[in-house]
Amino acid sequence: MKKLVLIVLALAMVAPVFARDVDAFVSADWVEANLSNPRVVILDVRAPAAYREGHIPGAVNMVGGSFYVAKDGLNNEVPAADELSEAIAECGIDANSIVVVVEADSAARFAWATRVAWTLVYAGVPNVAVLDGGHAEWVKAGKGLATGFESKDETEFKAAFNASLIADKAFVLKNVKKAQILDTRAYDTYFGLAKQGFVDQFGHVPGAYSLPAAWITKDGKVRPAAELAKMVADLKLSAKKDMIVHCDSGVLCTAWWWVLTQQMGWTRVRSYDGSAQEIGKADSGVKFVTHVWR
Amino acid sequence: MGYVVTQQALTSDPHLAMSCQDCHAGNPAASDKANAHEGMLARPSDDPVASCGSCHAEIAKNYTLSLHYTAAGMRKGVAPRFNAAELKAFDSKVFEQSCRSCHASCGDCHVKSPKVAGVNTGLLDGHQFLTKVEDKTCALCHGGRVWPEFTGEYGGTPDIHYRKGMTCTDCHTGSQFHGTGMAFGDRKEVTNKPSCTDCHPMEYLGNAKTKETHATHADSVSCSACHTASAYRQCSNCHEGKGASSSPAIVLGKNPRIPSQLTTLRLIPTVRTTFKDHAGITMSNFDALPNYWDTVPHNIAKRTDRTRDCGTCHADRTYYLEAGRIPAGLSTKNLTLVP
Repeated sequence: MKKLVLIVLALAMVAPVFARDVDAFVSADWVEANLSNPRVVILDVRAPAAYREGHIPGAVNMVGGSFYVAKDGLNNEVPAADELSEAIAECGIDANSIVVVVEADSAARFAWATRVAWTLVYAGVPNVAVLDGGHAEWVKAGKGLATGFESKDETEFKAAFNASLIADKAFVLKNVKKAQILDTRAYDTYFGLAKQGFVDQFGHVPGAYSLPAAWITKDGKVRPAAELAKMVADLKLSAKKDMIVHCDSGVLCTAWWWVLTQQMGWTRVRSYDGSAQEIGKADSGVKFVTHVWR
Repeated sequence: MGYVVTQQALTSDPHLAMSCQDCHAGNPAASDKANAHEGMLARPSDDPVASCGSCHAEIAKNYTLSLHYTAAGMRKGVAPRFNAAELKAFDSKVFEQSCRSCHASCGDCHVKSPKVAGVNTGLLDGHQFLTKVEDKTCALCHGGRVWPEFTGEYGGTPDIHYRKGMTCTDCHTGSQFHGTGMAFGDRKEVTNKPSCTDCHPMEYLGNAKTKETHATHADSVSCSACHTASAYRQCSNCHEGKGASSSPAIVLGKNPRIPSQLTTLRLIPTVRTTFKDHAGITMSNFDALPNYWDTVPHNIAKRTDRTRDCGTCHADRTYYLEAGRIPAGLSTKNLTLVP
């Protein structure tokens, strides 16, 4: 009975509570069927050499690093508004566009796709999807490829950042004991057995929930929405409370941010791009804990 | 594991109309490996004129004088630090045996990726002859600094040109790679290298304010000083056999070649004992050259903190080289570059 309730609850949480013109994740078939839709921009964020060699017909290329830059000693920060606006405009994207982000795959590169997607939504492009399986899935499906370079007419897009989607250090420090902290790194990292060289402390923020980003995909595809919702439900996370998702440097965390907000419709989730690299510094005021689960 | 030479390659690549022994020699009539490989050349284009030059005579001849082949820049970059006897020892013990081993053959860029520290990534695409595979060729030899700065793989901002889909050969032309038949001492002497103003003539750039800013700074500040997006590699502490260490930073100082110009400087890792331990060579004139050299980091951006705010340089001097921040023990010449 308890299991049935959980499943029903999970399915209920899948239904978006806000209007979107496109699903959070789209298939290669969907992309193929919408190639001639004038609102759709296929944004291939792989390296230019890979794009040139073969890409979805009509896709534009803007390397992922244009959407996350090293700044102030942190690895993956949001570019300055004018730089980001220009990059988005050059892709032919405006606020009315339906953008499909294409990374190399939905395995190692999955969170890099959601990081670009999060940045677009944060900058004021509400209808963004991630191609499930990435470019590899398009190729695997045997669909046609174009070579060389393609472009779209530049738009007048100007970034209008939505401050409710991002957490900075001040927000985290103020809310670290009140908000739900979702740590999306691997279990070993959360538990304190391993850490990245650029993160000072082992372990995790006291009270943080662990939900690894790697669990979102399986065999290069995104797991069914109900399965993902059940993972969230099993942790007893609440859509009615503020949540801060983080990882080591602001990439992995956007994967769960994407599922929670764009697929499940949660509205009180912020992604912390400074992540453990910033809040884990010795002088940050937050002492990580190790060898303990929540 | 595919074939080194495929049927498709045989029909599409005119080079493969020749037989293997036309380039690699050996004895195709032999029936066992030892005899078949007798006299075989694994890297026939190590001698460009005798190999590729049989069809591409001018390019091959020019290439033997190019910096990619002579590696002359490596010698010129350190030679003034030695007295005559030391330089002679350097030439025989270090330059010919170490620096020159880096010179690239034709095949290193067109068939197989070049070896770096004894390792390469193998054939580019079977044994096809290719013209443009920068991420497997240029990126290997220039992968310590230039390529990862250009692509943002260090975590910095990717170069604006890379973001627009451009790669090495879009600016650096074939004649620059192959040489023009002139023997240059180092890359700064090369006369046909690209310049920002080739594509971006200052008189047409931006609005009135931008034009005024460019005109004001044109004679005294390099393009890269303002348009380098983010920190680039500064290398230090190079000791033979022990390697060097590096850290990212933007450093602005006087151009050692044009002292009236403020430009981006890169710390070059030579220390007083670089060649001492293994080669036994001292540098009696170590202080003849600085350790900071003018560089054009390949992470260019239209807008940076310097273009947005004049105060970054004019008030805060944020990236300016300061005497107190120069690592101890380096050349005293570095002090002349402090703006």
